[in-house]
Amino acid sequence: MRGAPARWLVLGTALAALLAIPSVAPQYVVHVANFVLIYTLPVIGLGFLTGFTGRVSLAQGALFGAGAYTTALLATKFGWAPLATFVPSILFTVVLAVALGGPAVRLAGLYFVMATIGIQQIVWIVLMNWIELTNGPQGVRSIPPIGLGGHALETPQQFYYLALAMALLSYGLAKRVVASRLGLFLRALSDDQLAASSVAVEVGRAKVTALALSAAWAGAGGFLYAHYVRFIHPDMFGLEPSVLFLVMSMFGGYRSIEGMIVATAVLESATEYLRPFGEFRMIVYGLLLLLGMMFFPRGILTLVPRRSAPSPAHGKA
Amino acid sequence: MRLLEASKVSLAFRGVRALVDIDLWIDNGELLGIIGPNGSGKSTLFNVLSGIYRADRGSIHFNGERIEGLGPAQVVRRGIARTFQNKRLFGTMTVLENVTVAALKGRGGSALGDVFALRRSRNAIRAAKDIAEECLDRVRLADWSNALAKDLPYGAQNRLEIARALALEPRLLLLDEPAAGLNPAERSELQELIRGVHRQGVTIALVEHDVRMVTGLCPRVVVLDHGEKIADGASTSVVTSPHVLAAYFGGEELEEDARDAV
Repeated sequence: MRGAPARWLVLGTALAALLAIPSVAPQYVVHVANFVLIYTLPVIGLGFLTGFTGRVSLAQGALFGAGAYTTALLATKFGWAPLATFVPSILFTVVLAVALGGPAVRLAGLYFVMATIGIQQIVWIVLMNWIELTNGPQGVRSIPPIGLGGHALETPQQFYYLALAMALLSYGLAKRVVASRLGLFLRALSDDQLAASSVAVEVGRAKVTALALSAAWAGAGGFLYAHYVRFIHPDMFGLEPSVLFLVMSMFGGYRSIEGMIVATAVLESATEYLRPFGEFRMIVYGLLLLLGMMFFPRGILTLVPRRSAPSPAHGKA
Repeated sequence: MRLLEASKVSLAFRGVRALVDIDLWIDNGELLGIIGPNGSGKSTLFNVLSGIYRADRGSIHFNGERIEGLGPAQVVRRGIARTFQNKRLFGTMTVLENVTVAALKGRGGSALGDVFALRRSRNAIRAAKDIAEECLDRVRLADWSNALAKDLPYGAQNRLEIARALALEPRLLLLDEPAAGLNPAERSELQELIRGVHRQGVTIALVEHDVRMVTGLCPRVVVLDHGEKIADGASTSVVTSPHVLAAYFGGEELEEDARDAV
């Protein structure tokens, strides 16, 4: 009985703190917070695939880029209102992911990783070389800000609440997905694929659905990103963000959406709080990762004790 | 009425003949025993029947429909469930979740419906959970519902395999060495469980090493050796036939076992 109110108190305080950030924190902190909020989307998305089906993908950065480029090009070359491109950005990213990655999800372990590196490369090469459409190495400039009710969200403070709303929405939806039968099927097939198909789980379909969901979250994140930074370039969507998203989604906690969010915040803001280390800060960052993985292989959120499942030994179950 | 009829089923792995022209039929409501020494093809036969392996030749009819060439998920939808000899549980999931996954087979709603808590989906999940709890009750695992499957003691894992298969509400249940590794008390409990499931109208095929248990449970027994069917008939006569004894165990041990059992 004691647990539930305490939980709400913590959640309420956290929400109040999040809402207060733009009015109390310096602009630079708000700026970093915006990136954290934006990145939670592709990271949570990757969690569906990596955390729940055990498939490690290094293409999430490219899918993030696909979403960003879709909205950027629709807005700059075809004059769409930014908000109108939200759904198309997600849809295009999902179609791309399923078309390129669908046949690959049946591959096991390292072979799937290699296939996703291939996808990553294909997307980058297309962005770089299909110059008539993407501007190639010039990137896409002057991406308009998102307008909400006649107000353009231009400053970090203005953008913050949209990013927060999207991050909270994506968190809530992700929790529902994980609790749905799809979540159950994915966990089952990552434990034992043969047993899963023997209890009538359509293994292939479940895996493609996980891939599509991870792409949807990446596409939505890319949408936000493009209208926040307002200039995008193919190099922003290379292997580096893919690796970063992967680390963030694994570092937080095994199959824990909250853990992924905490990890995104800890790692994305690391360059700020590691500033005292000066030129050594990237070394410290690397050490942080190394030690984190060595001592908390199931994620840093294992530091927080979970409600343990009752077992017969502890009375009624 | 024939529930399952396999004819001339053959399967070879890189030239090694695992199954050779197997003819097997199972009647509706039967409790069939399948015995044979290690490597005789019993598990391979189950893997073919449940769609995990694809036979090189031969046909399999189930309930009047051809099922050879279907994958495991399709076969189980048609009503054949199985357990695994080497315990293939979903280790990181709770005991209740293990069975709920199976109980969701063929129920309404969808994952999307679950996300938005649509009534049809909610009802389906509630129904699946109810069935799962019932199945756990039947194998006396209700107290362990919230434990992780990998934390269960061995004997309980065995029963969880059976509960998961029962949750699929099969017409034909394939039990692959369910008594392996159990102590005598657990064995007799398992026999009671199998009898109970059978009495409720589920047709069962039982692969088992324990000949005494098979003859105690199954009126008819099929004997495999080196991938071939070498006997098929009333269990009492099959396990004492000199032909089976000679080809099969080299004699003595089974003879004693069988005599005791008869």
